[in-house]
Amino acid sequence: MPQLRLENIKKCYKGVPVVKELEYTFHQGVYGLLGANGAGKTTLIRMLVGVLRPDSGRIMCGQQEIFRMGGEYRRMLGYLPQEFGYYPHFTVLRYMRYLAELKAVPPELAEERIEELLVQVGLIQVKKERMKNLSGGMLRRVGIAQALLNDPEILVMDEPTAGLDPKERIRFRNFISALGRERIVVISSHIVSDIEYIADEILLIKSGKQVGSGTVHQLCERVNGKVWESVETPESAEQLNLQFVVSSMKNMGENKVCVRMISEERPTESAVLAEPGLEDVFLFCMAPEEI
Amino acid sequence: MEQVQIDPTQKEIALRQLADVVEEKEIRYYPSVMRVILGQMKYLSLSALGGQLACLLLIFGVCAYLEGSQAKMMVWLGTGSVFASCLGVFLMVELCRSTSHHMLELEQSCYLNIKQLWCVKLLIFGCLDVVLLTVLIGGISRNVSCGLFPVALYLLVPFVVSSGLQLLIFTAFRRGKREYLQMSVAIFVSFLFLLPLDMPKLYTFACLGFWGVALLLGIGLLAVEIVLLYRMISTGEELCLIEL
Repeated sequence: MPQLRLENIKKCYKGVPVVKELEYTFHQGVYGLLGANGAGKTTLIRMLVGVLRPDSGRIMCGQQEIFRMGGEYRRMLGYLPQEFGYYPHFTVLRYMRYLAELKAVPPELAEERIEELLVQVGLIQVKKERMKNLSGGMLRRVGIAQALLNDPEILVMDEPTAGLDPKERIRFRNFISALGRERIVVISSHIVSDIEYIADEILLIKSGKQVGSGTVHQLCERVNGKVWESVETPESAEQLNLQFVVSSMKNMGENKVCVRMISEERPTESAVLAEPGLEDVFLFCMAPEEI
Repeated sequence: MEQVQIDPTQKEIALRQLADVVEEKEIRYYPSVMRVILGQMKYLSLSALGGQLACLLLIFGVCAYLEGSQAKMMVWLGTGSVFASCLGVFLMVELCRSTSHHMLELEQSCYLNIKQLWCVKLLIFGCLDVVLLTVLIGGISRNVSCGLFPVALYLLVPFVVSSGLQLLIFTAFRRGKREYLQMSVAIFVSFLFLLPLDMPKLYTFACLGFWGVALLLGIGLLAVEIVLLYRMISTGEELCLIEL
């Protein structure tokens, strides 16, 4: 099983740095890239799959640089782009066959593999349907199936759960955790709960920089003792919202609001410490200067 | 300890059988160039391939008509220039389709990536264009007095210039219906190459050097365009931005 190593990679778009000096090593397992929109996740993912070249630094697969490996690296790769493209007039089957050819799946195995994957993503019934007639969720599932066509050792998915309904999302989570047992799976999302459930390890990215990494438990340790809950009036809740990083405001009825916030010190007299979650870590890491 | 007796003949047979099995076992599948080309032909746009076929039929039809009406050399060359200018459109239709559905990023991450896919498409459509040009040049040179080589030169120039300009539009414009713009360029070049027909002196032996230089310039433009296109794919930035 190869390991994927980012060695001080940088990338600028029109002079603006998008990814800054990123260093990280991916081993076998499911990795979640978590960051706000525009944090540089998609750029990083595009570099990981060899579509974009870093301005400096290297991406190593084992002992070899991925751009030097060329086709041999791409052969190991399964990719679901954020903006999943398809030829609208292709049927699902034709689309899968087309990508099987591009991925050099042996012809004698391709048909069986396509059928197997379409069954797994629940699209076998619509295999003769044109791509343009599929719903957003179905298209996403075709995207997931195509990414697995060559049984990749490295699976990279950019916002894979976008457009999936809650049931499909749960199904996807279970599917991915099974896949992560035997390969490197890198998933990017700005939806904290998706990453929390799917990823074994999380990489937090802010403005192109890594601001944290580790398991959910390890990351939560960082905000241990900093997450508070307090029941307030709506007016004082609004006030707290201006002063602190507030992760939730829940209406309790009877003119009371439960405010969950992140602060180094006790924000109000009535505030009590709460168990931190990944959402709190996300807010803490994304806006540290405000705390 | 009891010593195990090894029969050298049996050992050799077993080793040979193992070697044969290893030899036969395809650990990784590497499709041959021919297999890739044949594979990709199944997925080419029918409108582009149909257009090429229609063009071939039209060339036969027009040649037959001109032969029947005993057309003059300038009419033959003018008609040939119009066809030659428009032949490159079909490759452009196919390339535009490739870039029109957000597929580039995904295709670039595959074992056969965009560079290789476009190479295959350029090769297929290039071969079809060569066939059509051969038919056209052969048909015209039989009916005019200037000979095969000059006719080839007179027709290759509009073909190369038109293809170069269409490729320029393909790389310069990322959005919108580029196919229509490219068709307009093809029509414009067709008209442009009808202009020398008013100057028959341009189609004499003395001016062959001028046509030769024009062809070299056209080939240069086309080569630069192809290099730019491939550089664009390599860096990837433009590739991620190309969409319709």
